Amino acid sequence: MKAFVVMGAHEVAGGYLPHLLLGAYMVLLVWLCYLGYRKGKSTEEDYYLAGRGQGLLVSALTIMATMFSSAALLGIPGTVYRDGLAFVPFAMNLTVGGLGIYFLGTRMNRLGKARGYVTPADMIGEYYGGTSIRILAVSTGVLYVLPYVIMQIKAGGYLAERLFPDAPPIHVLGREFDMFDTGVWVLSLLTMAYVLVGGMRSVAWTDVVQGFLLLTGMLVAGLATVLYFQSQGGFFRAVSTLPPEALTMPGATGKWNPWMIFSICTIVALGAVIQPGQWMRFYAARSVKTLRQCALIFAVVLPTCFIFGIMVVALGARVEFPPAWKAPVDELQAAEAWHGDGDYAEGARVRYADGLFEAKGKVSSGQVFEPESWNPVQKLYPHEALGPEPSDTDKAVIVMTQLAVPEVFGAVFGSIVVTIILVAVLAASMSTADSNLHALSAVLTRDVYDRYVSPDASERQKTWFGRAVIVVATICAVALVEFSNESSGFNPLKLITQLMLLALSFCSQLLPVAIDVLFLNKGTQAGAVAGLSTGIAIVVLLNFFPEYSLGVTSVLHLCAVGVLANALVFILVSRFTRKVPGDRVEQFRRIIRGER
Amino acid sequence: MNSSRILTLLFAIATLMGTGPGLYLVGSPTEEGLAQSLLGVPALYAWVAFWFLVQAGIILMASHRFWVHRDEPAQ
Repeated sequence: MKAFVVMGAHEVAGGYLPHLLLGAYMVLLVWLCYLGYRKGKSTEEDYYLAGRGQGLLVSALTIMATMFSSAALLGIPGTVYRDGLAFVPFAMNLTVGGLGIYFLGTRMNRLGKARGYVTPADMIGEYYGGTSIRILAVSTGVLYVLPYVIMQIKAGGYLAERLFPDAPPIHVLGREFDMFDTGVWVLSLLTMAYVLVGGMRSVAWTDVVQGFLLLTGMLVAGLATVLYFQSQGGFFRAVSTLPPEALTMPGATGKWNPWMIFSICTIVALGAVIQPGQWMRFYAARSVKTLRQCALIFAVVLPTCFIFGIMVVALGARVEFPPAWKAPVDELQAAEAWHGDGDYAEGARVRYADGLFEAKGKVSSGQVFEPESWNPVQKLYPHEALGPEPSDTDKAVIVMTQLAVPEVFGAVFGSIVVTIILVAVLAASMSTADSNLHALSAVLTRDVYDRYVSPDASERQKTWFGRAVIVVATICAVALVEFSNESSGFNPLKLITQLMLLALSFCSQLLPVAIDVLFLNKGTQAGAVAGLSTGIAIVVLLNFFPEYSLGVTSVLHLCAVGVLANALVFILVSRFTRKVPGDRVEQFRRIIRGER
Repeated sequence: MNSSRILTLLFAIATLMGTGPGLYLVGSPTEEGLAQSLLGVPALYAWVAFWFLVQAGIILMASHRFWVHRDEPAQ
C-alpha cells in the first residue's frame, strides 16, 4: 500500500488562505442576509415565499442548491468510493427529478398562486378537507427535516477537521471544542442567523452563491482528478485496475442491485422534488415558464456534475486510497478466542489469527481450525488517510481533492482551488440546512401554530414563532450530532447517504396524494389519511426492524416499499369512501389548466 | 403514435436500461470473474453515461417542442 501525504490547503499555501477565503465567503453570506432583510416585508408570505416573485437565476440555483446537500459532495461520493461503479447510476435520479419539477412543480405553482398556499399541507389539506390529513402532512415534513439537517451539520464538522487539522481546541465556558465541534457549531449558528433574519429571500440569495460554488467545485474537482491520472496512463485505465467488486453490480457491499437503484431513481427521485423546501420553492417561482426552465437546467446540469464531476473524484479516491475488508474492531475484541476442544453452535463467533469468524453450522471440537466451517465476519474500512471508522468513507472527496488539485494546478493556485472546493462542501451543507430549517418553520407556524394554537395571532407574532422554531430545531440537531459523536452506544445512522435516504423516505410519502391532487382527482380524504399513515408506519417499522420486510427491502428501497404500500391503501380505501366534492375538484382542475 | 408519446416511451426505455434491469447486461462480471469494459472504459460507467445523454436529449427536445406551449395559461 502506498503511503500518501495528504496536504491541507493551509500546508500548501503555508499561510492563512483557508481562513481568508472562508472569511470572505461568510462575509458575503452576512451581506446577502442584510440585503434580504432590507428588502423584505414583515408578512408571513414574504418571509416564507419572498413575495412569489423569484426569477429564473434565483429559482434554478435555489432548487439545485437545496437538492445539493452534503450528501452530494460527501455521502454520495462516499458510497461510490465504498461500493464502486454500482452506485454511479444513482446520478440518473436527477433527470427523473427534473421531470418531477416540470410536471408536479408547475401545477403546484399555479395552485399556490391562485389559492395563496405557503406549505404542502395548505394544498393537500384544502383539497381533501379535515384535520387529519393536514397533521399527517406536517408529520412527514418534520420527520424529513430533522435527519436532513443533522447530516448537513455533521458535514460542517468533517470539513472543519480537514480545513484546520492542526488547530488547537477552543475553550468556551469551560468546555473544550475540537475542530469537529467548532465546525458543527459555526455552520449551525451562521445558517440559523441568516434564515432568522432574512427568511426566504436571504435563503434563496445565499443559495445562488452556494449553488454556483457547488457546480464549479464538482466539475473542477472532477477535471483535476482526470488530469491527475494522466501520469498513470489515464483515468479510465487506473479505474480499470480496481477489483471486480468495485466495477460490477451490486457493488462491494452487495447492496446496489439494479432494482434497488431503479426504485431510488424513480420513486425516491420524485419524492425528493416534493420535499417541503422544494415544494415551497415551486410556490415562490415567478411563473410556470420559470419552472420549466429550472426543470431543464436541473435535469441536464446536475447529473452532468455527478457523472462527470464528483463521482469521478470518488472513483479516483478508490484507486489511490483503497479501502480494505477487516474484522470490526469492537466485535473482534468481544469475541472469544477459538480453542480446539470447544463445540460451537451455528452462528457462534470466534477470534482466530486476527480474524473474526462465524460458524456456518454446528462445529465440533478438533485440533485444527477448519476455514471451510466458518464464515469470515468483515466490514469494508476506508484507507487510513480518510479515517478509522467505516463512516469515514464520506471523506473520500475531501482527501482526493487535497491530493490531486495541488498536484495538477500547482502549489499556490492549487491551494486556492482546494479551499474553494472545500468551501463548496460547506456551501452544500448550508444551502440545504437553511432551506429545511426555513421549511420546518413555515410548516409548524402555518399548519400548527396559526391553525390550532393561536388562530388570532398577528403577522408579527407568527413570524416570531417561526423564528423560535428555527432556533429550537437547530439546537436539537446540534445536540443530536454532538451526542452521537461522543457516545459509542448511540449511533443513529452514521453514514450520510443512509440519513439522506431515510429522510427522503418520509417526505416521499406525500407523492401519492400529490399525484392525485394534481392529476387524477380520484382519491378521498379517508383514502389519503389511510395511505399516508400506512406509508409513514411502514418506513418507521422497517427502518428499525428490517427483518419484518421479509427481504423486500434488500431488493427495493425502503422508501419505494413505503410509497407502494401507501398508494395501494390509498386506492383501496378511496374506492369505498366519500368522494371529494365535485365543485372543489373542478375548481382545482381549472386552476391547473390555467383558466381564470 | 404522436411524437410526445414516442419521447415518453424512449425516456421510459432509457430509465429502465440506465438505472433498472438493463444494468444486468453490463453490470455482471464475465465468466472469468472480471468486469466488462468498452474501449478501455469500464462498461458500467460508459453505459450510465450513454443513457444519461439519451435522457438529457429527450428532455431537451420535450422542453422545446411540447412544454413551451404550456407556459401561458389559457384564457
